Amino acid sequence: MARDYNNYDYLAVSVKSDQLNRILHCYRALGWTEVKTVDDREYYNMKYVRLRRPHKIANKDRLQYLQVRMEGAINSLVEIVNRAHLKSNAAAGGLGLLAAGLIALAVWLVIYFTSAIRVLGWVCLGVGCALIVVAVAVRAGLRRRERKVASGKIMEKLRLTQSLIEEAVSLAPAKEGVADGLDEPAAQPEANNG
Amino acid sequence: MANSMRPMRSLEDRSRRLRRRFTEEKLVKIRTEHNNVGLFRTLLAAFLILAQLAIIVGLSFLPALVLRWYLLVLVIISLISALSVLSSHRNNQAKAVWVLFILVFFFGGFVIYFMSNDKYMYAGARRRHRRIHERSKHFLPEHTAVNATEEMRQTCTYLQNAGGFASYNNTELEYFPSGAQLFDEVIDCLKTAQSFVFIEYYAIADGVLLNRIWDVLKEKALSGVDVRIIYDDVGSRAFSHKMRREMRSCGAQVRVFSRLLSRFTFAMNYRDHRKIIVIDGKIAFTGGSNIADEYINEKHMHGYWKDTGLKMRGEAVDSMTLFFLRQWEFITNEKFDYSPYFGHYEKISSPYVAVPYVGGPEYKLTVCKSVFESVISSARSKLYIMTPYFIPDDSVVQSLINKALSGVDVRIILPSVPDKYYVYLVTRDNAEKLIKYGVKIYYLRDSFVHSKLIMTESCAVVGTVNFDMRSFYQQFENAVLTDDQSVVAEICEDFERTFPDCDNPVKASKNGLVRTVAVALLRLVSPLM
Repeated sequence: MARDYNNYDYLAVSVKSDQLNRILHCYRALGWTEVKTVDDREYYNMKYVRLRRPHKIANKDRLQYLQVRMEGAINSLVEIVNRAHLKSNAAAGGLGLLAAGLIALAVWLVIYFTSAIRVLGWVCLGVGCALIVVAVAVRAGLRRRERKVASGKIMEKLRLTQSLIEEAVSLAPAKEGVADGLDEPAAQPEANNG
Repeated sequence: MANSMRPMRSLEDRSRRLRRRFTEEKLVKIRTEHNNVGLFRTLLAAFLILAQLAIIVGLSFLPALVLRWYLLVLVIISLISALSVLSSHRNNQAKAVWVLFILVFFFGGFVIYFMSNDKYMYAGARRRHRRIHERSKHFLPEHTAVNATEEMRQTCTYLQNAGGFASYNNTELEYFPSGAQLFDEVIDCLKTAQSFVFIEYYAIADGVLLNRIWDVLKEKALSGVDVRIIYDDVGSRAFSHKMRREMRSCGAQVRVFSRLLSRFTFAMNYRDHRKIIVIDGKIAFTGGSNIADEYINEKHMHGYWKDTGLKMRGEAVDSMTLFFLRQWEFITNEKFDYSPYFGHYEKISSPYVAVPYVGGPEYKLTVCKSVFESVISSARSKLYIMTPYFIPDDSVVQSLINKALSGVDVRIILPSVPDKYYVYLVTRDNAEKLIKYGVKIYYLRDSFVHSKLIMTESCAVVGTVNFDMRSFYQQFENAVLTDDQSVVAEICEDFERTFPDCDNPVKASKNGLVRTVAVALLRLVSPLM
């Protein structure tokens, strides 16, 4: 059935399968009603959801603004998790590389030189090994701190999402359930199954 | 059989892994957020322009390979060109950039300067504009607004003398704080069209909004309503050939302003940034919104899209009709009788003043910039500005600083999400430099602010004019100046509603070395931004 663009706004989103219910709850709070949910053919482990909302819904501008902020907050959760250990990994990687360089230098000095220079080689080896231990310790320490920072950020984003939803609900009372099948799901690109 | 299945499975697994990696970045993916339609065409045009410049500069330098003394001639010509720049009427920043450019690239910089000098390269077009203006100026009565304050009266007089822009009393204005509300009203009004619909827009793009508008317009065009559409070729790169063909087949006249790939001239830099809709000469619309889905938040290209618009009924609609018809004649190069399109406005009684005006390369004076300066200087207690870009020249910046130092509450709302990162870098830098003088800068969270508003306690300007040098000096713009207190109050309310959603830095953010260098370099080309 054709979409009624004069009376409804439509939105198509791809949502992580395991987060579908939570995210649909957010969209319902913004006045959207689910029209169809199918497996996404383009993205792995995602659901393709088509939603609709009356075109002349009250407080539409505000709802649109809240929606953008909500989508941003939800997506930033993944970003926070992905980037949580960026610094610790970089620091440990840098120290590890330095250690590897020193150990390589030590091996070269010990094998190809004699007496005093060989001693320097053993020193380099010792420093290299110590650096590896330091790298592991630094990584562990930083990760502990990063976890705290990340969980703080995540809590902040969740609180923001919650407050946005609460405001949305006060503007457009949420309707649970699925719309009465007005239209077909949008044509999706054919999946590339290799 | 098992052997033949193995490569298939691994290929599928690989594809799954790739797709998983791609989608791990997001929990929710909006399926309509990308819009790179026409990007190839724009890049091709940019490449061809650069190639053209390289050939011109190369040819001008060629004789120096054979004749050594020719280098001396080039240096002398460059010095004379630099003197010519200094004695021109450009703004000081542009002069400084051009002098630097000509002297550093002495082997060909002057050629580019003269090629981009509108005094020579746009002279023919300007003559044509002048002829059209001269022939059509009698269509507007020389209105003198009554009941205006002294400052308003002065600005009206300036607009009358600078471009023949009439000021009107009996006009009703309605302000829309979003593109969605504006276009809902536009569509409702289009349904009432009986004789003509004029649409002039910088950006028209295929999508839900255009379909909604076209659903109504198609019916009107088929029933004999004179539907004319002007679109800018750069702004409307997502306006498909198929859609235009359909419009033409239904009887609508669709014309492009300054085709991008037809002929490479520096006049291509002058884009038609106006947004005008006139319905039957009774109703007119303008504002920041273009006819594309992102302007009504159907698409989220750069976060939430904050835009505004204005509806006009009454005497001032005639001015909007005239602006459209002049541009139409300029584009089509066909003379026609304007008279059937005037005098259809509704008789409305209003004591407030409304002055629709346009600016652009057709005028020698920088009308849009002067009106902004006049509004800024008229502020007594508050001065609110909403703009996507903030790259004004020194005189405007100085006026803002003076107002803030005089105790006027100067506030500027800017986007927090850029549409063009390089422009945003300069915008933020320019804006935050004003904080120490008492100007309050606001960034609307997760949003791109596209509204072009300036208001004081007594008047407001709504239109298409950005706070940047492209709008002041190079683009065809339009706006409405008004002292209608209901509109001023509505705009003020919109500002007050927006402030709580903004971040308000109390001091300028520190730029790192890379950003400082980038901003310094970008500042050199800021007259083009």
